[in-house]
Amino acid sequence: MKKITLTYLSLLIFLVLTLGLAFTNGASHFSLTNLTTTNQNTLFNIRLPRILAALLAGATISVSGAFFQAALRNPIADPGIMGVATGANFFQLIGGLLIPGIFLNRVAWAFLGGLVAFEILVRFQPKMDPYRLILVGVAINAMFSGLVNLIPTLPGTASTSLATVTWTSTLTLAVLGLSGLVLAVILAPWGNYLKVDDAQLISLGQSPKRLRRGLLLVAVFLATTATACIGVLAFIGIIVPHVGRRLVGHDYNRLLPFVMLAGGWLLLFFDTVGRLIVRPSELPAAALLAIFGGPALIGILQGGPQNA
Amino acid sequence: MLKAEHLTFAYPGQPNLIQDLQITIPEHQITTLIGPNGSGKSTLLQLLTRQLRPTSGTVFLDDKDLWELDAQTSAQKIAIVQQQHQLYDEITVKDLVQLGRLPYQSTLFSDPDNENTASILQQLNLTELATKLVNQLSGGQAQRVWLALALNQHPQYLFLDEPTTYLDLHYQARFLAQLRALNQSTGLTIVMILHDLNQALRYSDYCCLFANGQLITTGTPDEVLTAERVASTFKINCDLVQTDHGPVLVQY
Repeated sequence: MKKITLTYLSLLIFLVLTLGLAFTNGASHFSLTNLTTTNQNTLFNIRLPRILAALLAGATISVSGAFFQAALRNPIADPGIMGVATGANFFQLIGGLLIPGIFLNRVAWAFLGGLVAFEILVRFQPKMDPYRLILVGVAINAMFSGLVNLIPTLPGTASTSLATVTWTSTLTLAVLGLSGLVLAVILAPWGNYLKVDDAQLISLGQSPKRLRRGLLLVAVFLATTATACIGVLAFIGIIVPHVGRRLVGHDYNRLLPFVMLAGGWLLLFFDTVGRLIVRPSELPAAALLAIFGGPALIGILQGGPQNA
Repeated sequence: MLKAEHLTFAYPGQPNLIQDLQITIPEHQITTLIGPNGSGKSTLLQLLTRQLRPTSGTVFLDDKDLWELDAQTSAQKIAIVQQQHQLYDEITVKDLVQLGRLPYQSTLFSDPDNENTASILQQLNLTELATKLVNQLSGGQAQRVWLALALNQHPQYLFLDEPTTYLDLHYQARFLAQLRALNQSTGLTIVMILHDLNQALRYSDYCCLFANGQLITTGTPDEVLTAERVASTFKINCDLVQTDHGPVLVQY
């Protein structure tokens, strides 16, 4: 069996198993064949939106990471490390303070925040040196994280997470996230074009600036939409594309579908594990991702960034 | 026809590197640009291929200002093999060569042009390497791949900036022979920068000798590369020796 077929088959099996666990387990366990009214309410109003949000957010952030890596030609660029996600988070909290109660407003502010964070990054690193870019991104991350801590916790200003998703946030993520993913699939070839240097692209009649801007705009849109709906997630935007390149290759036309599926599954997996291991309490998926993602990133870096 | 009139260029904050240059590239021939380092050869190549915009003067392609053509039209007529190549991620030989069709495609929703790509791969004996990663190839193989990418643009003019610098002698000879064969079979106009004057003597039809941003002289290799001119331009002593295989410059 071809490697790619085996990869997708395995992923689908993991996804089905994880979905089964996610639907039937949480603070309470129940079977899908014998649902009481309470269980139906739990399933349709709590678990289903959360599962969908995890799948969509995992997909969008992973694709965002892949596009950051293509556009910046940096294998460890992702919205978390670049400060885009924390910038989005800070701005969406401000948006919630200014105009509470309208979720779409927070999404718009998140997008603005992501753009601001990225603009700061580019101003301090116009030449896009790969390592300095990461360092400046870390600084921007720290700055916006600090600013978030200064915002008083009022109704409508709490950071979002998978534990607090509603149908409103999930449907918003579905509409905006899926639109962004469709656009990402259309722009996937641009990730391949940017593998050659700017002089070569110009000699082929292409505008490297336009290609980069297009990918980065979609990357920021995807990352900030997910952040507005479920909060900041670290490392998933690096790990999933990296694993994807090892399993299905570096062609962005092939990589993106894998990244979407694997990213969605990975976030759902960690969210489900977080809900199971200390139930009826739960560990946040973001914390689990950081715990496991950190060593994974170190492993990636040990292989050399060129191998990411 | 490709020509430049009253071409002047200076890098920002620098004096003019190229001053009021006139040059016409002969069609369907191999032209070599030669001269010492810093004489303006690479800069001229970049001006002729729309990589740099002149400070003043005009580059004409088929009687039109090169900079008034859109980028894709220009890329359909002019292709370049750079001196150094950088790849930021893994890519197969086929996928890289396929990028040569970009000048003929829309940036969105384009079909891969497999037929042209397959033909070019076959022409350069790269079919068996099609699925290999470019960064796993030898220097000689990789240079053929970059040449294939440029040829896949189906250009009228092929520019090469020191194409043999990073190749050993064997691959240098093979590569240049391949260019000669291409020129003879398809009439492709080739312009290349070479440092090896004997390669210029052997593989080119027309030479342009540069020094200090000025075009010193043009003509056939025999006319341009005389012992006296080489001595005065490159500050070395040499003799031009006639052999059974053509003239050879010997430094002493």
